[in-house]
Amino acid sequence: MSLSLFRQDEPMTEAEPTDVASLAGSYGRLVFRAAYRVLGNAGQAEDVQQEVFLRLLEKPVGNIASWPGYLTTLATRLSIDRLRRHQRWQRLIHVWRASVPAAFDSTEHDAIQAERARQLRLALCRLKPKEAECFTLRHLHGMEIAAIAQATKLTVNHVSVCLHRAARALEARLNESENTTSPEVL
Amino acid sequence: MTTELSSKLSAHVSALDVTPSDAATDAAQRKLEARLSKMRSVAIVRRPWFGWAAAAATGCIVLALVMLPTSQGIAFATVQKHLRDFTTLSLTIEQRSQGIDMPTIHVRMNHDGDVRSDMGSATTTVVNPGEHRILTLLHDSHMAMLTPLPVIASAKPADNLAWLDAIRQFQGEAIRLPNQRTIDGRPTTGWALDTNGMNITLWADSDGLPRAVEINGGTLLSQRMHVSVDDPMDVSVFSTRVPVGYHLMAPDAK
Repeated sequence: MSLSLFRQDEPMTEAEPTDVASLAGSYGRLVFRAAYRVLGNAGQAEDVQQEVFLRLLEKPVGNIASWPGYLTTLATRLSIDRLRRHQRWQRLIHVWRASVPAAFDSTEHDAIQAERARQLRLALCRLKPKEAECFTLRHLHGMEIAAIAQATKLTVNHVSVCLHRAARALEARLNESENTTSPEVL
Repeated sequence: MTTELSSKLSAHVSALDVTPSDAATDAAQRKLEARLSKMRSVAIVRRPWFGWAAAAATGCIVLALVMLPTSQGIAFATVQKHLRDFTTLSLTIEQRSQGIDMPTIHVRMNHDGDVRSDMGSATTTVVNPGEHRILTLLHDSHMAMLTPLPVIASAKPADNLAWLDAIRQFQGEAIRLPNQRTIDGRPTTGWALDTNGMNITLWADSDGLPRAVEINGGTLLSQRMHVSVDDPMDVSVFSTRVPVGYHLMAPDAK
């Protein structure tokens, strides 16, 4: 199963914008949503969104075959970095809980979904960064393997291996957390 | 190699399919575009002096460490940008240790990398990369010391930005304070942070400009820092010329 971040109203092909402002105008929302899905918090996603474009200002990059792919990958990488740092601080749970929409508390289904999201984020930040990045790009952002390989500068085979290892490790983590009596707090 | 997810893992992945509201997305986009429109699309000025200005660096790092990514209207990246793109930055650091007032440290710096640190009324240190030297003044004895700034200080500019990476790596949780304070005529929002046993309160204005920082390390040390960004600053404060009435001594003189 894969989910796609890309919307109909956003360009999927590149017009090679020449400045960061143009890129931000074209892909700012895409980057925000990519970060939001990983982080689950609008404020954190805003930080990542701004960091992505500030980095481009500081260190312009060229020869980008796919700006949506590149920017989504960068946003994902920065978001996972944040998850990992927050996991170390073991404090993000408060942010997430605070950021869950009120409607999520209204039904058991939504509560289960929120708990699943929490568990998967926790498991993601325990993966090797590259594996977590590939998994997120493929299964959360819906990118094709070839596009992931292009954006991450890995080979297609390497991406496939990362995806396989990530899925296996996540399964193990989720089973582990399911068998744990007391829920682990981030 | 294909990767088929189990139904369980698929269910967890779908749980992350939370799309932000259009309002939140649009708000973020507006902030981003407003921020970028203010930015100068020029290379960031390298500051080769940071390794030589411990007090200034400490001030900046402490200041920046408390700017945590809570995004309560101000994104962390915005504050980082202020700290990198300032024309002038002035920090007045008041310290108190075990109930005793310590000398006030006044640090001034500019975008050229010049740094002046006045530690109470006793000592002044001026780091001037353009003149390739450091001036130290001992005011009580009216002694002055000039030290050449090693070439390596400007030969490895990337290393001197390592502190920025350190800031980027730092994360935590700050609690927004309910009340506002007016500092330098600007309404500011406060954040409280408890990190490594230190209680830190930061006040920043609506543009993300830091205005004041208060640090309380219990009975050991407390600091209060007043921050000014881009205030006019006379270049003469960064001169390494020995002032009239001061005796120049060699760096290794006793």
